[in-house]
Amino acid sequence: MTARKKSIAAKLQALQQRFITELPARLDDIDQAWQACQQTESSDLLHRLVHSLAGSAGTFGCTRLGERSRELELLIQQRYVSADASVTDMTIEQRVHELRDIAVQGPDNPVREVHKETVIAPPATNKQALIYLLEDDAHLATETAEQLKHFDYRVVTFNDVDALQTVVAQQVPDVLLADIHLPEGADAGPRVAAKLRKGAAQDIPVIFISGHDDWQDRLNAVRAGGQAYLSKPVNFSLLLDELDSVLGKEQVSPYRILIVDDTPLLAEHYADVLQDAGMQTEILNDPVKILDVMPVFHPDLVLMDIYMPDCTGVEAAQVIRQHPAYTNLPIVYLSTEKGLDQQLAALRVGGDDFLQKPIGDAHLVAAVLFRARRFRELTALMNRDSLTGLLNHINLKQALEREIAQAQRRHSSLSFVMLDIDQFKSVNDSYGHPVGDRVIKSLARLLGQRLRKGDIAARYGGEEFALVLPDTEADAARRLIDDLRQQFAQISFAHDSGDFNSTFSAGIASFPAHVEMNDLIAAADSALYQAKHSGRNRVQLDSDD
Amino acid sequence: MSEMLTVLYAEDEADIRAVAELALEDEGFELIACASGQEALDRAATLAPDLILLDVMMPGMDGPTTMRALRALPHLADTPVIFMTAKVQPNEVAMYSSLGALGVISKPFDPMGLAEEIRTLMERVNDG
Repeated sequence: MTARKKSIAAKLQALQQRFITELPARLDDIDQAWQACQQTESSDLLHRLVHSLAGSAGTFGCTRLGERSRELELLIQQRYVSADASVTDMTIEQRVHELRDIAVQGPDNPVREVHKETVIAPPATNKQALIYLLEDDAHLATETAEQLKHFDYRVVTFNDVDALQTVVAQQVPDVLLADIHLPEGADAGPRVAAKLRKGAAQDIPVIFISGHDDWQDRLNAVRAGGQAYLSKPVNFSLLLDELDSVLGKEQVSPYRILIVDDTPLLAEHYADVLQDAGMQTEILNDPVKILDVMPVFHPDLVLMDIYMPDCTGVEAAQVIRQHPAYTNLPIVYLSTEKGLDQQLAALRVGGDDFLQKPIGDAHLVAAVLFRARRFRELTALMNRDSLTGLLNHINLKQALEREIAQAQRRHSSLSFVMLDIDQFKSVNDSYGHPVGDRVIKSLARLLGQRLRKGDIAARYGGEEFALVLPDTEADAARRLIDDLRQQFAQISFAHDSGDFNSTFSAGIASFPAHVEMNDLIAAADSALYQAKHSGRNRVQLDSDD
Repeated sequence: MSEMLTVLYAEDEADIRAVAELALEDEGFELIACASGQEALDRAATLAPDLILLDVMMPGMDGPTTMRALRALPHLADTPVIFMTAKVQPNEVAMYSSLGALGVISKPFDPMGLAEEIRTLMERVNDG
């Protein structure tokens, strides 16, 4: 099934659910219309209700109910329109009751099931992005190309504008990296970039590099549609950040949305819509369980129904807010409440937004996505290591605990990796701390690039990293980490006293072989220790002896 | 047939409207869904739909009445009309055709096939 068909099927299922939920009330209406019809001899309402059921039941998978309704409709017509006395009250009465018996049996031809695809640790692949580099400084061109190669970019360098134009005409790059000042002129870079962008069938993102960091240069870059501007000497970490952002490769694990709504049908529908938009959802039909679910699910946002039987959404939001850890968690109310006063009152006590039911899918996704993203960004500022942007030690443990709980629930596997840069102290001693920091950043970046969405990387301590790989068996983890090890060893770091390379060692332990978080960490740590002792630059599984 | 078709649609049942919207969205149709014949008539004043899709049995103005009222508007005099109905009698199809309808789509309809069914009926118009 295509994504579209799948999404339609999911929505149809939701509508089918609604139809079935509302069916008893519709049958009550038909009963009443029949009673009224016997007294007034006016069959219009009864006819219309039965006709309408005949038309819709089949669409929602209740084929037999639809057919019987149609037969009943014909009988009603015979009796009241054609005045056929052979159709007795008794016959119609029986048929009306029969509808209820059939309805109880549920749909006999359900809307197609939606297949939830399970993702089983695919190899971390990176389609090589093609970068054209327009740079007349041969040394800088070579160095840039060399560095980018280590991060899985394919770089073609050009030292003049004409050659670049000829090649772009044949193949458009994913990104154009262009110097601003070239032998052809002080704004030759922006001019050719603008021309190429105009002529190309698809958008070419451009990043400019310049030796003259001044207003005119920057303005030229902006006018040529440049997405970023870097001044020389080029900071490669920055360049890589910009490439990530231009190519949309920022690693984001799905936003987690907790839906609290006492109507299961609606909650399921919201969940389907949000899942289609790539989010992860958890449904609570009873707000009493909120505080049990929050520490396990770690929502990025709570979608809260206002009217629920035992406690209102507003009260539930206040209870959540009593916990210091959830002070900033976005809580978005959903309600049919139309009064502005009531909406404002609800917002005053801890809500962030108010969405009115019924709400369109696109509106729901946009409102939720925007707030969840802001929450993530703010949390990242607080919880991440400032040098690498990876999680810090404390948050890694929280993340690991969460992922173990998930793996337990889903009966899936999980691997935990401890990774340490070899002889890092001597890097710092020989080349200085700024160079050491560059080595750390490069490894962090490589991890960020090679890991899947949903994998978690953290800076565990000085030169030590930790990875959580959900749905990954130990062997698959070993292959991935060994790949990374070889790749990292090839990155050369430039220094005045000559280029050098760095390596790392890693230890891996897995769930469910280790169920407790601390056991899992200890096992990975001891595997790392073994890797170090058997010669470094290697990957060790905890299950190997 | 790649151009967007604007369809003025009247159906009193919200569930069925929702299904039709689902079935036609992204399929090259712009569906203007109305909950009654009267609403369709009100909105028609400012619309130039390529097609009118009407449920037959609706409270208030039924499908055929709505069709007559719409056809009375000069700019809709020739707009094709398709009825949707739970088919009761075989002769009804003939009756609707005699009213000037392009065709009848019977309910329950298959949501996945609705777009195709409409396109097939529309080809009759284009073939002359």
